[in-house]
Amino acid sequence: MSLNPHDLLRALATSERITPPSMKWKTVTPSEYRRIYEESIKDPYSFWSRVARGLKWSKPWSIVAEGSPPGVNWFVDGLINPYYNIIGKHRDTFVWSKPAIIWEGEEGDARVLTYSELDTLVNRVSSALVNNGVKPGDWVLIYSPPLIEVIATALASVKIGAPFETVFTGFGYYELARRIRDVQPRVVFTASGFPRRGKTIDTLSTVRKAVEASGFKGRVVVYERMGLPALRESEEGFMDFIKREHSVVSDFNAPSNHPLFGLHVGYSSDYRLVVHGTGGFLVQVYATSRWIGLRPRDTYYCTVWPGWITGVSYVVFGPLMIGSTIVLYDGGPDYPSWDRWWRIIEDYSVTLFLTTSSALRLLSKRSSDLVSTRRLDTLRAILVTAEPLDPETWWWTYRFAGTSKTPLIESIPDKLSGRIPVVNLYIQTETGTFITGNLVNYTFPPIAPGSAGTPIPGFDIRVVDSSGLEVVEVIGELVVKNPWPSMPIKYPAEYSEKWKSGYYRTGDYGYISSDGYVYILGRLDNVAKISGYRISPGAIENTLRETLKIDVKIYRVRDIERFEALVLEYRGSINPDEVKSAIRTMIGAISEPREVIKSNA
Amino acid sequence: MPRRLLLKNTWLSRIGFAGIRVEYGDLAICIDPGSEAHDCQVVLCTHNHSRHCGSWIQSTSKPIYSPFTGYIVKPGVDLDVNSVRVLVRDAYNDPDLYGGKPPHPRGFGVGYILIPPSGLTIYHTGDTSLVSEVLNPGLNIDVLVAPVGGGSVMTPEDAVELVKSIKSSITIPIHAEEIDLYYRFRDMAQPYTQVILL
Repeated sequence: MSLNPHDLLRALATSERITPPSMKWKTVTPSEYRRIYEESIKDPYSFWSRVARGLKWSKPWSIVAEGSPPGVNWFVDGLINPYYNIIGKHRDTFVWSKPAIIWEGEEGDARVLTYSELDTLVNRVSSALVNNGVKPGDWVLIYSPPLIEVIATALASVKIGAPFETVFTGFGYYELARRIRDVQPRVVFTASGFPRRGKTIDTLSTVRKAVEASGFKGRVVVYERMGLPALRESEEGFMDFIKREHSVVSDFNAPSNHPLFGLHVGYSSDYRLVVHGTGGFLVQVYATSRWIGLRPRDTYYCTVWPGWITGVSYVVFGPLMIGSTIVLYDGGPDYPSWDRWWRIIEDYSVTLFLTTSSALRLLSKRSSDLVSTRRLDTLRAILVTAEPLDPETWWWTYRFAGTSKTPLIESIPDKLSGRIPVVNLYIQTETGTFITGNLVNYTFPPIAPGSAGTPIPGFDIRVVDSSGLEVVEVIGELVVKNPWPSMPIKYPAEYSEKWKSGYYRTGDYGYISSDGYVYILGRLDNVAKISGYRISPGAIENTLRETLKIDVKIYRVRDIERFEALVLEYRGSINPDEVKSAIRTMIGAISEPREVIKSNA
Repeated sequence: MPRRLLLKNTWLSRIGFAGIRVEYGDLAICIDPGSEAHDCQVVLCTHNHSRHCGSWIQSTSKPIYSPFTGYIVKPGVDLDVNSVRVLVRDAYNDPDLYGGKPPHPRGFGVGYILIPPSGLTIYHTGDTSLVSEVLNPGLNIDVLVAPVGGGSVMTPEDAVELVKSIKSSITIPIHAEEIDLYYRFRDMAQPYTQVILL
């Protein structure tokens, strides 16, 4: 299949509209949805201001929003204690003694930490950060697989007003070094390594190379995940780091636009840092977490690692703000076999499962027995993100993972008739949270398989043609017309550029059906979406030019499993394997092209 | 299923038919290990049925605590076993449910609450019906290890009532011949506790 959005739309759009049996009494009609949605975007400032009252503010805001995009200040003059609104508020409630995190390692052992224990650990980490000179506004950088200590370190940073960046371990040392240079962290947290299909990925070596390449002078804190090698002078084991004398650290009260966290995001030219502010982001992530279906009694498993926006918003923040239990797993989905994720759902009674379209496509290519023999009856919804979910994979997921053994209203287990919602949601690092998708706990019209659902209330989402005119049932660019609370507070020129017409251009082709469903149809620019990862072609070109001194051209092609793949063409004397290997170690395995072609021209 | 579960510095794993291994520091205490010792230094038996504690316990040199052999324990006893606090609790069948001939009459078996120095409270109810003593363990329970197989012990529905009553933070179902009963219990109990199939 080509990259042409028209071809993709033909593959995605069908006339099917599905009401899953479990949602029979909660599904709204398209006109009911329309009414709620239109009301919310008529005056988005009043809408978000009402939503913001769901958080506890130390000092209320005087103005909901001021300034014009991209430089909009939300909740002006407002002061908010982020740690209280994530963890502290659960003290003296039933949530305090329930598990906050269940972590399973690839080897099969599991750890459980209650909210109360998580709070104790966070306090120790924040005390250690303060002792290491970390002050409000200083950065903490995390390069690690998902671990309890990652969540604790991120929350400890939040508690003392230090923004953090999580860097996906799929990025190599060169990319990590750039991020270290960009944010100048005081502390870098990493794990000694992590298992992948029984082998060890040596995370610490990558960090060491990045430290050398960036000239980083701060502290590297190493969590002993796969043994602890001899440490260098600038490094310290996590247990030693938190063992030293600690005191109770008081929570930081943040001005609404205080930096909370940042991520580097892929643009055509390169990866650039985007930073989210405290008040606006927390308002939006708390609200959308409730709307997608999270409740305090939920056990929630998200396969997206912190390092991507979904893994930050909907692992580090949202579910803990609700009081849900999160499940973390640091191994491969296929180890020891392809049913690992289904077993995790079964063993820990997972009620909400969030994963990516690519992952489901991979799983759907394996024997369906791997899922249909598992007992997934506790699941209430399967949430899918990162890229379009084709109807074929949607139906596979709905039937095999979404039916279960216990009948519910009209579901027929033997016929795999489907029971619970499978919903695709659309998110960007810049938007901070999901902005389209059927909402299990809010606006839930029937599901249109292949679509990313309907726009979420509070986000004025349209499709415009090349002249900027709004279109329906025509392919154009997906845009957001109104400012939203978690607009980045720090951003690159590439992001400002996207606001030039007065609305935010997502860079994605979009299509809105006559009944309001949004279809995402790939990028307008040359940024690639590979297995849900947003890959910057410019970063690959720049790195290869700087290090191997070669000129490269990068093309995107359609990939059946991964959505898109890269083809790289270069001129130079080195061989293609050297180019591939350089990309793997410096930029990271996720950026490795499907094909590397040496050009003779 | 996870091999082992770590909570408050304490490793838990399932052993035998209805047993649990509790490891804290260098010490491993087993409750109802079944036909072998599972590398435990101390063994606690809830009652004298062979799939709970096999005949090997009669000849082992390991310390055995039980209502029928070794150090004899009774409900109400409060012990210190190598710094792990062990509280002995009632466990028996409601005679009315068994026509006056319960398989586990009162006095035949016990349940145990283990409290390692980290403060974690683990309650293994033993083979029991949903009786008032079990419903009122007298302290907050972090981990409930409860039979759900019906027949001579609680049904999944009984065990859900127990969970609702004692509000255990985590619950590990045991003692079911049919695997479906574990899922039945899990699907009903999950909103009230975190069920982990260990």
